[in-house]
Amino acid sequence: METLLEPLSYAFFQKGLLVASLSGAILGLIGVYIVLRGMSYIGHGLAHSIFGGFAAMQLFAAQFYAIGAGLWGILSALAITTVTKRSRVGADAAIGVITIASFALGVALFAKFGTSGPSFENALFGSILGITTGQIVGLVAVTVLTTSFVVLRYRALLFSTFDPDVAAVSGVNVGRIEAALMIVLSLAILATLTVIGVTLVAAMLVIPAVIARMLTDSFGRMLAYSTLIGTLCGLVGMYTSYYADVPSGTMIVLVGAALFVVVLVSTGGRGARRSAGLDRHPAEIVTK
Amino acid sequence: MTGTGVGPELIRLNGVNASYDHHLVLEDVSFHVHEDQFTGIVGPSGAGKTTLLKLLLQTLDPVAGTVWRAPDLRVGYVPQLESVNWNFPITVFECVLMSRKSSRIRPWANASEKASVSAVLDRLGIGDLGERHIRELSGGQQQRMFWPERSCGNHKYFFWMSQPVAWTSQRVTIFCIY
Repeated sequence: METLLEPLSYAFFQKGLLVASLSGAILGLIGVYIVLRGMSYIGHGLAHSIFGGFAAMQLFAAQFYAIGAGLWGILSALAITTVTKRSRVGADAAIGVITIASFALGVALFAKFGTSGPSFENALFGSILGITTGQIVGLVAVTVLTTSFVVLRYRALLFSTFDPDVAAVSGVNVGRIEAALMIVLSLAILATLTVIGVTLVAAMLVIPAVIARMLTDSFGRMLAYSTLIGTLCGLVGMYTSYYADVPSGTMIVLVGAALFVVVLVSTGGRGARRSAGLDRHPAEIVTK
Repeated sequence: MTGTGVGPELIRLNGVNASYDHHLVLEDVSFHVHEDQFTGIVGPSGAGKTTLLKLLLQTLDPVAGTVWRAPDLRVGYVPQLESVNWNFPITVFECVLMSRKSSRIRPWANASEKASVSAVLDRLGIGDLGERHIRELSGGQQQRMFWPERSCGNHKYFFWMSQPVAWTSQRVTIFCIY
């Protein structure tokens, strides 16, 4: 009990705990769609891309870096979507070029001009130190937005994830749903970046969703489980990070990975079988 | 084609060309489909059957010619079984519910929707399998899951399926490809 209560006497830890559990929850929630649509690499790429915007905006106005990084991320997301749809460049290659170039630019800017915001290392691996009230407000706002989007567009989101072609024929505006999902994903990554870290965000989009998939065959339950698992990873990861004295993002991801192994072993072949086809997303199956 | 062909026109194609990346797949295609008509399209792999359907569904724009659809036409679609991701985490009940428009803010089904989905499942002969995963259905049951519901209202219903394994007795316009 003492172990649980002691860190709570610090204001920074209270803030960290709140931010980590909220981050885990929204990444777990939106991660279900990302994993089922085979977009994990897009999540990974977007996080790196947003880092470029993050660094660039600090040169101009440190207090607006969140807005700049967000815009940069959304523009990258739309650029990836456009390049993959309009040209012969494959999605993987497009993401590789656009987002890693943006990340490289961020690293260069950081190296040349330094930073007035979070340190380079904190931005990469996450930190619970120096979380501002503004960041918490931003995260709460993004949590509300993400939850509203998932609830209000539940059936359209599910349908277009299940089979975009059938959904389009049935009257779902698949393009608009996809664009909205990319924007919500960019904002979720941005809001969770400081605690989880650029390089680790993608893992938290994937791990809770895959664990949830191993536990259930129902979509509704998968959403609920993934959100809960994400929250749990945030909470437990935060405590272990405090005691192990390592960056918060690393421990949150390691807790998730450990949980993944536990669930994989305890569900036996059934869990593995359920998660086997996760990367066989409809976009791959649709042929000309 | 079967049917009288004298009912109102649902779809008309006039001199349509379709291409992918400047490679012409369909050239100068013209035909029309009337209400209560049964149409079958047969052709070898790569002949352009799916391209034709994409034109009809207006998910692909023709490079020449026109595609006309009746304004109040509703389209039902039974996908090829092989093209569905049967490992997707979704129960039979959720799958049928998903395609319904939700007028309420909350995403889950209310009592009347539950009853209505159950009635549809009963009619399809899979009433007791609602909580099962879609993979657990047989091939015929899987295809029936995508069949349009009888309550089409006053709308004209155009319904197409790829490689059907069983038939419906519903009075809808059916278009199928092999």
